[in-house]
Amino acid sequence: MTDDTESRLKAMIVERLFMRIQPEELESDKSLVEDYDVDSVSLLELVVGLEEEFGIVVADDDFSVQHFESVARLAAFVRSKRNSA
Amino acid sequence: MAPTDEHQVLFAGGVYELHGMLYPHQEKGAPGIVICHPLFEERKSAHRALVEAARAFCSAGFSVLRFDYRGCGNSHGTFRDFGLDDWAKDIRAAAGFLATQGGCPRIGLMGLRLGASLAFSAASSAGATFVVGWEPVIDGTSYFQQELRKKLMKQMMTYGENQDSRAALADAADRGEDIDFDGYALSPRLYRELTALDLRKTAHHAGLPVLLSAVTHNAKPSAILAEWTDLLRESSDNVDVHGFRLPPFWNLVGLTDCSELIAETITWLQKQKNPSTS
Repeated sequence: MTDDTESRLKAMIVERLFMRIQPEELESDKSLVEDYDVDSVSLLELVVGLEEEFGIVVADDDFSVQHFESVARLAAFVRSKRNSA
Repeated sequence: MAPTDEHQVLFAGGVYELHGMLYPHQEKGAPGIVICHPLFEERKSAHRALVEAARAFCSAGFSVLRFDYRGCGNSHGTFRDFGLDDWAKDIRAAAGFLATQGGCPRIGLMGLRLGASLAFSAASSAGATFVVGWEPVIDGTSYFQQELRKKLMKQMMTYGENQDSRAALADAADRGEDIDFDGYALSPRLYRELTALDLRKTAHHAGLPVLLSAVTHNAKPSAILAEWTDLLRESSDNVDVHGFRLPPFWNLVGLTDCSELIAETITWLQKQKNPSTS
């Protein structure tokens, strides 16, 4: 299911990582690392983007690969952070 | 685009021999530019962009010096023995060398990331007549925290989750231990100097012409760069800010096309050749 969080995430990911695709082409369940060649430097850009654009704080113990596996996982992570804030 | 006569040079930085690449312009009395490299891994990733910048600046009528700080690159010394104050002295030495060897009556400084921070810190004492900063590090503590996050992210990619915490690493540094910083041994001294760095409090440009180039995902200056720009403009109306939509090429392994960034910088630099007419 694509919700507003996922749409915003896709737009942010495509812009911040200079991807040469349209946000809607980013498939929610595909692996960011395996399918979209996102590396550790890019993931750090995403963390900064999450904090700036979604107003959440990504703590050190949030640095778990499961949160960054896909857009869908990332959206679930953002929602859980916002709900617990 | 090949400059006429780029060649290696060695010059003294205190008791250390510093290695540089000199790009002398043919015209006698051409103004000079000292390029101040970033530090740590950013130095390696930015190498090609700064070589291209040096060549382009030379072709545009400037004599240019790129160099390695003491303990870095090909220069003498061991990295962990030095700190930001030493490298600011090296910038002064480089400016003096370029003025003498390049016959440059006026010298400007151009730096990237921490190299820009050092350039602004050294500008007055180096006798610089202008300063260019590409995405300068303004707050050393934030930089330190982001670099530690980079380390945690690499651990996450390798092990599935991070193996350290920023608090534990900072505690180790506070206890006087070296910590691994992007593959470099960060000494207690460098840690103290880095986390004390805040251009908003310390960098004085004495009304020099300043160009700040923001390199971001949306071509807009970060909040902290905007804040610092406002502070600089309180004492000078000669502060320009240009924005570029570029990836953080100082963090990337592959090449990034920085031609627009370089070209816009040259356009600004040309105005500094004859400041009385601009």
